[in-house]
Order: sequence, then structure tokens, then C-alpha cells
Amino acid sequence: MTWTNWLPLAIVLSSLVPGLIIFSLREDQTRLRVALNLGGVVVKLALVVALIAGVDRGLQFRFELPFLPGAPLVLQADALSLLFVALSSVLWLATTVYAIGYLEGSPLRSRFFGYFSLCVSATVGLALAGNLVSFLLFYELLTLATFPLVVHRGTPESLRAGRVYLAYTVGGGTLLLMGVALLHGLAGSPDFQPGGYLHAQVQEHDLALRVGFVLLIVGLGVKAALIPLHGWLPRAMVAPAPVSALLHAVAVVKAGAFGIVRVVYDVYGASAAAELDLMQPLLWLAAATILYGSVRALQQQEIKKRLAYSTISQVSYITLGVALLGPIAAVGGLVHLVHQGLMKVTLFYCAGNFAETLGVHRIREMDGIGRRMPLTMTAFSIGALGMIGIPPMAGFVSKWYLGLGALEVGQDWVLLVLIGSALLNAGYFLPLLWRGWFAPPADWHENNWANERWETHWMLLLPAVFTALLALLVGLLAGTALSPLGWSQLIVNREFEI
Amino acid sequence: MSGAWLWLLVPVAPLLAIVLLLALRERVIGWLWLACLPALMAPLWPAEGLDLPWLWAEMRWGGDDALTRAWLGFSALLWGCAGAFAASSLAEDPRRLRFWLFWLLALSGNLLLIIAADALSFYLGFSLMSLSAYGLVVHQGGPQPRRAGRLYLQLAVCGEMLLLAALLLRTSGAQGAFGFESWASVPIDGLTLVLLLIGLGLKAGFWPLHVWLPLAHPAAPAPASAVLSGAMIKAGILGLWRCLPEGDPLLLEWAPVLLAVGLFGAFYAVLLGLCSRQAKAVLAYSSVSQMGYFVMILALAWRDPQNLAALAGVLVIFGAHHGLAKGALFLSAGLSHSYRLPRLAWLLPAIPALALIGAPLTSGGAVKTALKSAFADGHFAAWQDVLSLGSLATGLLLLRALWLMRQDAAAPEAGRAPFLQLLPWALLCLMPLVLPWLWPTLRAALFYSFGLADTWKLLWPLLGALLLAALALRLGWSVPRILRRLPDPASWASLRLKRLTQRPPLVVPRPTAARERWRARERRWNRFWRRGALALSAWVVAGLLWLGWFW
Repeated sequence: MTWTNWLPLAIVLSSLVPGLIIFSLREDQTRLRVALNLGGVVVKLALVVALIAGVDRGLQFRFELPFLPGAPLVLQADALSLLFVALSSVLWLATTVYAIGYLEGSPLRSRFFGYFSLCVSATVGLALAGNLVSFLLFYELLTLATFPLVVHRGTPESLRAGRVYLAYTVGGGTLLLMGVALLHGLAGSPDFQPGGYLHAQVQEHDLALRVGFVLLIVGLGVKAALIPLHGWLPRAMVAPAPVSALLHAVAVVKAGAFGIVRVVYDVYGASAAAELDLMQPLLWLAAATILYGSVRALQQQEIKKRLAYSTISQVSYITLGVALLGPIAAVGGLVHLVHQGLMKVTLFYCAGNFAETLGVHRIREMDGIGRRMPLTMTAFSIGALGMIGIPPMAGFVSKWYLGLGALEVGQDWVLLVLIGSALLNAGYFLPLLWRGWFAPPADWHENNWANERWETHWMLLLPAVFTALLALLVGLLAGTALSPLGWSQLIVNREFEI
Repeated sequence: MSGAWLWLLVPVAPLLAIVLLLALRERVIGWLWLACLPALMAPLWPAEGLDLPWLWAEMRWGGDDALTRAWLGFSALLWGCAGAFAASSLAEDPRRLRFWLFWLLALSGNLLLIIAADALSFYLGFSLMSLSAYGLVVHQGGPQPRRAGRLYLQLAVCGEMLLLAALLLRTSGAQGAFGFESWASVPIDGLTLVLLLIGLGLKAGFWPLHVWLPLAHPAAPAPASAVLSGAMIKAGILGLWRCLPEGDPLLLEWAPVLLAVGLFGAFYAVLLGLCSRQAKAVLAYSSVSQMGYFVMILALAWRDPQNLAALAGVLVIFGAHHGLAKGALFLSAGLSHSYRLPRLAWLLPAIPALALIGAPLTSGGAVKTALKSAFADGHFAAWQDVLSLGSLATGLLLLRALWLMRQDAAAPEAGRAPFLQLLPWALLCLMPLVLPWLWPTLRAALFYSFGLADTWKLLWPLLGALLLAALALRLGWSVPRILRRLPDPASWASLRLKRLTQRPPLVVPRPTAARERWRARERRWNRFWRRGALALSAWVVAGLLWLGWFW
């Protein structure tokens, strides 16, 4: 056992251990809690950087522990998992800072931050999981760790939302479990590998593989909020803003989308999936979800609700890119995994800032808010324009590659979906920007942070500005090798062996 | 190497100016027009293009071709003059910081799209310019600019999305290459062509895609209208010129259609403009009409690809001539509206007006003659005499614009125009006379138009227009009542679209909650799922067991 074996485990533990300690802290031990939180983040980031540097130099990172007969618990680092690990670590840093500022002075912080850390550990574990069984384990852990965050406020509404969330995700988890069991029965649980490991079984067990695929996709689709399994997501936005940000950008929704990517590329493999004719229905489902989410977002009058429906639509871009089964579209889908996370997390931070600072929850209360909170509104604008797909923001890169990929595999109608979705996005984001920048200011009751030096508490402002800058930079500097785009191209080259 | 970096500075200089604006606020406003300087210098120092692989693999800015350099030069000149004008005319405006923010963003976008040598840079500049110009259109506030801005933004976003689809189709056709050079030999299909024509045409504003122009121009402040009409709408034409292949059989087929669109637009916009009673709206219609001529140049280039080089020359001198002259006229409209001008100063706006009509000795005369000879060289030679008729129509329209400006002129007790506004305005107004002597390409065209027959061809439409205008004035002609309020389907559709996307802020209570039926359905589904999850799981388990037994 050398350090290359322990590094993946250490990355998971770097948030798990602080989380467990935080549970045991008293409510008034604020400093220690903040130190533990931030210490965990910093350690994790350092380890992730080491991991990326190692993978870049061609080292193999693999941790194995006997778990089930024939299915060990494997944590390993490949290009795809690094994409997700890097995203979740960076956004965890931002969200931790944000959450510390957001929850300042509110009760039950130890419980909150404990589960918060557990949630991130589960996400990172899920990203590093090396086979389906390990993936399933962390996937279920994520469900359980998120529930206390959703119901954190304890209001009847959030409890109801929590119940709906649990019903959906446990149901989905059950289906996923059955899918995993089915595939385990057929082919065992070898490590994920580019090109999949089920290709040899296609002739013999095509029906079972199809059933397994449907089970897996439905199970993962609950978290990825594919219609008609999306009902929990708009409900869950009653959670505090940092939780929504995490839920929508990194942890839960992304876990579903990431799982779909894993199943299609590293379990079935592009060629087997194409032979089994599985992708066309998934493509239609993704396209329908994109349009449905956008139309529903248009009808919402609350900022966070609108953002929630927008997530349903945007996350399906990832599924769309995967389902198109072409290398260029795959780049678009994978890169959107990161880009959507950056943009959506920015939007949720900003929505949280508006609510915390000025008590603004509904869209019509946003009139003239750009003059009171210019930095937050600028960050919001960057996120919103990126969602529409305006260059040079990150969203444009995804849209460009998805469009090219659709044309490459001859599915020209997808272009119509992309353009339609962009127009709908413009329809529900531009009025917000207009209100923020051009409408005459409304009267807000300044509830918090009115006497701050900045427009709001700096711990609320900084993460929003940071992620907005990232969303702008990854779009602007897409040509560099370490950009999400460059990294996605690397992953896709390995999968399609170009 | 060192020269190539100048290209980077061209679009970045306005962005740096934004940083200065945010840091120094009011103090820097008087100097912001200097942001155009790198763009003005770039055409004078010929430099290689600059590759920017770290932005995006094939990205390339700038180039040594005459079209880019001349286009950049006149756009920067116009933006600079209008910027200097705005620094003084908007000095007292309460929202001037916001104005300058959008101004600089739009400037950066416009310069970028001119120097772009690949489709993505072009699209980047195009959308930056389009969206920022919204801030200029609605700057003055109030219902009229809001309405104009809404229509503008809706059409701009739609146009951008159509353009994106076209660019994707084109890139896909070129196997992923998106440099304009690599597109020159890639054939085009009908769908892409239509998407490009509509997407870029919405910006260029030729008939029938002109609906936003007559609303947006009167709504914006004068310097913003000047750059909108003089520089920004030409982005559409430049884009069409760059994105299309050379000598494609499909373009050959489409050339007559395009020529018909251009010709009809050139005359129809004049008719609409004559019915309009606002000087800036009349000038906007004149731009629509002039865009018809640009479309004709495109049609000529599609029909006779062998004349492409010559037509590129005509395109660029026409662009420079129209951009500067129209900018000068818009500034005149703004200036005469708010200040008292000395009687002699009224001669200055007559110069760009005469140039647009095509009077001899001006840039307009040179351009019209060049356009005529381009017609004569190609397959549409029979249509060249229509151009003289077009000059007559333009003459009537611009005389009406000048007359309306005079009617609208500020009361005698208004103050004298400040020097800082007079100077850039006078500079722009003199450009039609001066530019042909400074710029060799235009000078050659001017000398070419000096023949006796050509001069007469340029002169009679002008005299005819003057005669008709005098007649109309003598007879006391005014716009017939029925034509004063023309139907405006575009505004109506824009309002309907807004109502469709934004429900009223206050929900009107209804006896039945019919509108929430989607949410109700989702709720019902949630309940089903909450109760039925276990049952469903059990069914699936049973099914799987059955499947397992079946094998």
C-alpha cells in the first residue's frame, strides 16, 4: 500500500472526519467549527490538486476494500471522476464560506454543518467510486445525508418537501439497487472502464441488459430530475440557500447526471448502448425535459422556484449530450456538468443574497436591485446570460458543442430543442435582469447587514463573485488544456478512442 | 509580432475604459472616447492577424485585408466622434454612468466583430454589441423607449439564436472548422442561408426585417442613434459577406430574389419615411432604404462571383460613406433639437444629406457611380437606371428630414451649442467632402465620377428632388390623415409576446384554479409517488424474479 492507494480514501475522509467531529461540538463552539470546516476544505483541495497532478503524470490511484463477495469497495481516480471531484471540491469551498455567512447566528448549526460535510463526502465518494456497487453505496449515503439539510428549517412546508424528496429518492434508489443487482448477476462488478464492460454480453442477454438499463436510468433519473421524476426538485427549494445551491449545482442533481454518464460510457459503453437501441428514448426524454423545465420556469413568480425549474431543464443538457452518443456531443454534455454547476450555484447564491439582505423573494420585488447590490446583480447577470448561452459565458461552450454534436450524428432536430430552450431561457431570465438593472427601485426593508462595508455580508458576496468569475473564465479561456472543455475532450478521446 | 498585439487592444481598450469608469467615475467620462484610438491606429499600421489559441482553438483576430481595415477605420471614427459628442451632451444626465457602461460594451463588441477572422469571435462581438445596445435604446426611460427597447431586444435575441443555428450548421458542414477562410469553399444549403439572412438581417434592418429601426432610433439619445445607424446595423451586412461562400450555385439562384428584396426595400422605406413626422424616424427609414442598396451589392456579388473583389471595394466605400453621413445627420437632429444653431451652421447638415443623395464632388457621388459601374459589369445591368430613381427618392426623404429638423429646432431663447459638441459634429458633417481626398480608394472612385455624363446622372435626381420638395412646400402638402397612424403589427406582436412570457404581477383570483393545472398534476404525481413507491418497487421486484425464472 503506497500513497497512491490512500489518496482517494484520504479525499473522502477529508470531509467525513471533520463532519463527524462537528456533530459532537456544542452550538457555541463557533470558531472550532469554522476552523474544522475550512480546514477540511483546504486539505481536500490540496489533495485534489495532488491527485490531478498525479493523474496528469500517468500514475494510477486505486483503493480497494473487500465489501461484498465479488464486489469490492473501490475508489479510483480516472479523468471523468476528476472532473466531478474538482467541481465539487471547488464549489464546496465556495459554499462552505457562503453557508458560514448565511447561517451566522441561526440555531442548530452543528447539525447543519455535520450533514453538510457528510453530503460532500458522499458526493466525492460517488465521484471516485470505481465500480457500480461502490457507486450505489455512496449514492444512497448521499440521499440520507441530504434529507436533514432539506428539512433543516423544520417548517411544515420543508418537512413536507423532505417527505416528497425521500419518497422519490428512496424509490429511485430501490430501482437502482435492482438494476445493479441484475448487472452484477450477469457480469459481476468489475471496475468502470472507458468503453464499458458489457459489450461481450450483448448477443446473449440483450433483454436483461435492456431491463437493467431502464432500471438504472430510472433510478438515476430521479436525482437527475428527468420528467416525470422531477417533482421533488421544485419542492426542495424551500431549503436554505446554500443547500439549494449544493443540491442544484453539485451534489444531488449532479450525482444523478454523473451516474447516467457513468452507466452509459463506463458500464455499457457507447457501442453496446448503440447496439441495444437504448439511446433514442433517452434522447427524447432529455429533450422533453429541457423544454418542459423551461416552460414551467417561465410560469414561476418566485426567484428560487424559477431557478429550480431552470435546473430541471439545464441538467438534462448533460443527459442529452450523453444520449446523442457522438464524441462532440459527449464533450458538450460533460462540460455542461461543470458549467451548469458554476452558473447555477452563482444564481442560487445571488438569490440567497437578495433574500437575506433585502428580503426579496419574488421576481417583482427585484425592481432596481442592481443599484443597491451591484456586485451581486452583476454575478447574477453573468449566471443568467450564461444559462441563455450568450458568449463568452460558460453556457455557450456547452451549447456550441451540443449543437455540433447533434449535427454530427445526424439528429438535426436537437438543434431546434437547443434554440427553443435558449429562447425560453431568455424569456425567463431577461425580465429579471431588466427589473434588476432598469426598473425604478422598490422599497426594501433592509433586514440584515445594512451597515456592512460591502452591499451585504462579505461571506455572502465573495462566493457569488468568485463562482461568477469562474463561469466567465471557463467560457472565455475554453481553449486552455486545463479548462473543463480541454478536460472533457480528454475524457471523450479515451471513451471513443480517437 | 508586436504589431499583431494591437489587434488584441482594439476590443480590449473599451473594456479597460470600463475599469477606469468604475474606479474613477465622473472624472474619466470626458476621456472615454479615446477608447477608439487603438481601433483607429490599427488600420494605419498594417499588421498580421493575431491567433488566440488559449481562448478557443481556431480563434483569430485581425488581418491584413482592406475590408477589415477600412471597416474598422470608419467605425472607430464614427464611434469616437459620437463618443466625444455624448461626453458633452449627456454631461448632466443622471444615469450617465450606466449609459457609458453600455456604450463601451457595445463599442467593444462592434470592434471585435469587425476584426474577427472566425465565426466565434464574430458571434461573441455580435451578441455583446446587440445586448449592450439595449441599454442605449432604453436609456432615456419612459414608455416609448421601453416599448422600442422591448421590440429591439426580442428581435435581437431571436436573431442571435437563428444566427447561432446557422453558424452551427455551417461549422458542421465544414467539419468543425469555423474560420471564415475555411468557410469560403464550403457549399451552403438553403436552410442555413435562410437562417443567416434572417438572423443577420434582423440586425441589418433591411426590409422586411426593419421593424425595430424606426422605433429604436427616435427613442435613443442622438449619439446612440448615430452609432446604431452608422456602425452597428452594418454588422449584419458584414456578417453576411463573411459567412457565405464564394460563387456557390445556390447563391446564384437566390441573387434575383435578394435583388428584388433590396430594390423593394429601398423604395418602400422611402414611402414609409415620407409619412413619418419625426426627424429621427425619417432618418431611420432612410437607413432602412440605404440597407436595401447594401443588399443589392450582396445580390450582385452572388450573381457574378468574378466581380467579388471590385464589389468588396464598393461595399467598403459605401459602408464608410453611409456610416459617417448618417451619423452626422443623427447628431444634427440631436443638436438642433436642444440648442440654437446659427443660420450658417445649418449648411453643415446639408453636406451629409447631399452626400447621401449622391451629389457630385461628395463621397456619395463617388459611391453611386461606383455602384452603377458595378451594376453595368454584371448580369443585372438593366437595373442600373433604377439607381437614379432611387437617388431621387432618397433626396425627397432627406429633404423631408432636414425640413422636420428645422421645424423641430430649439426655440430662439435656447442656449448656444457647446464647443465640445460642435467640434465632433462639424468633423463628421465635413467628412463626405474631406474623406475622398484622404482615402485613396474613395479618391479613385471620386475621380472616376467626374465625367460629364456621370455628373449629370448624379445631378438630375438631386434637382428633381429639390423641385418636387419646393412644389410640395408651395402647395402646403402634409401627410394625409389616413397615413399618419400606420398599423404597427410588430409592436402589437411584441406586446403579446411579453404578456405570454410574463404574467401580470397580481394574480387575478378565479373561481377555478385552471391555470395551475400543471402544478396540480405534479402534486398529484407526487402524492402517487409517495404512496406508491413501495408498491411499485414490489411490483418491479416481482417482475424481475419472474424474468429470472423465465431464463
